[in-house]
Amino acid sequence: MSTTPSVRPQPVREQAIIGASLVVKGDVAGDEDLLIQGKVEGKVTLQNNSITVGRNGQVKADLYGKTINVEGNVQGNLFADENIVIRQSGSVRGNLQAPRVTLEEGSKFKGSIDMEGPAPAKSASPTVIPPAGASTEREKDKDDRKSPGQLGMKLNNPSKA
Amino acid sequence: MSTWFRRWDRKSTAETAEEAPESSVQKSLALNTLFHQIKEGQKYTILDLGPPVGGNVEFFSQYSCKLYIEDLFETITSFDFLSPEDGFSYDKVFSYLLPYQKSCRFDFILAWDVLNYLDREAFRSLMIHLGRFSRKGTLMFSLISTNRHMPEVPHRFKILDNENLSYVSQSSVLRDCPRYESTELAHMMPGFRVANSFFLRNGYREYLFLYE
Repeated sequence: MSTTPSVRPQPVREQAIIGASLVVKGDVAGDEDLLIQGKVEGKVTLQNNSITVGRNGQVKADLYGKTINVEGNVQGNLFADENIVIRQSGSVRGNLQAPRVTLEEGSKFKGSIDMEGPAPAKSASPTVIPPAGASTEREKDKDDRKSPGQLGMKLNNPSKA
Repeated sequence: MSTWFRRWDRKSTAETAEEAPESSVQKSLALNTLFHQIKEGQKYTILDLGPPVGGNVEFFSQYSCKLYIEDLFETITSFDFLSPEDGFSYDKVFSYLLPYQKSCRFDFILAWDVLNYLDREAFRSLMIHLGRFSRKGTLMFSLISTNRHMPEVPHRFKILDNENLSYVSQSSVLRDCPRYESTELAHMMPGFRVANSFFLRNGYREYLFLYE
C-alpha cells in the first residue's frame, strides 16, 4: 500500500497591488487582499480580506478589513474584524478598532485603540474621535496655520533669548 | 524644541553614564494600586501620555478598555508655538494638541515622568485641561523625580505585570530636575489630590492623583 501523503494544494489568495508610482484618489472596495505601496486618498473597504500598507505606502483614508498590516504611513481610522498590526516601520495617526492590536517596538502611533467589539458595518460612519492631527479638519487647520517663522514672530524660547 | 518644555543645563554623557542606566525594572506600588481599581465587566477609558509601547497595549488588551495614546513630549517638542503677541496661551495649545470630545472622560491617566519636563505654568495648564476630561474618581499615575538631575528626555516605560515597570532610558545626557514638591503639585493640579505616593530607590516618587 502506498504511504505517500497526499498533498492538497492550498488555494492561492489573490492579492491586488497598488504600486509605488500609483496615486489613487477615491474609494477602493473589493474582495481580494490588497498591498498598498503607492498613495491612496479615500476609503478602503475590503471587509473580508487583508490590507497591507507597504513600507512605501502612504494612505490618507479610513481602512476597513479583516486584518490590517501597516508598514508605511497612514492618516486615518483603521477597523479590522480580526487584528491590526503596526510594524516597526509603520506610522499611524488615527483610531484603531479591532479585537487584537499589536504595536511593534519602534512603530509610531497617535490616536486611540479600542480592542473591544467588532468593526462597524461598512455603511456605518465611524464614531470615534479623530486624535491630534488625524482629522481632515485638523490637517486643514494645521496647513492653514502660519508658522512662527512666516509671521516673523519671536518664540518665547529661553534658549534663544 | 518648543518654548515651554523646561530647559536646563546639561551634564556631559561621560559624567552621567552610571546615573542613567539603559533600562531597569522597578516595583510600582502606585500602578499596582491603580490596577486593583479595575473591575471585570467594566469598560475603561485610559489616556497614556507616553510614547506608544507595544507591551503596554498588549497589557491593556486583557481589560476591556479604550486606550488613547498621546506622546505628549514628542507632540509638544515637534510643534511650532505662536508667540504671546499672537494669542499664544498654554490653554489654547493644549486644547489644540489634546482635542477630545466634550463628553470624553478618562478613568485613568498615565502621565509617567513627562510632568517633570513641563514648567510650572504649562504643568498647571495641562492639569486644568485634563481636568475637563476627568470625572470624580479619575486616577492619574505619575513619577516625579526627586533627583537633582534627570534624563534629557522622558523614559519609555513598559508595564511588565501588575507591579513591575521597566524604565528604558532614551538618553544618557542629563538635565536639571525641577524636583516638584507635594505642596507645589497641589497648587499646580486643581481638582486633583494625592491619593497615594511612594518613594522609590531610584529617586522617583510615584504618585496616584485622584480627581474630585
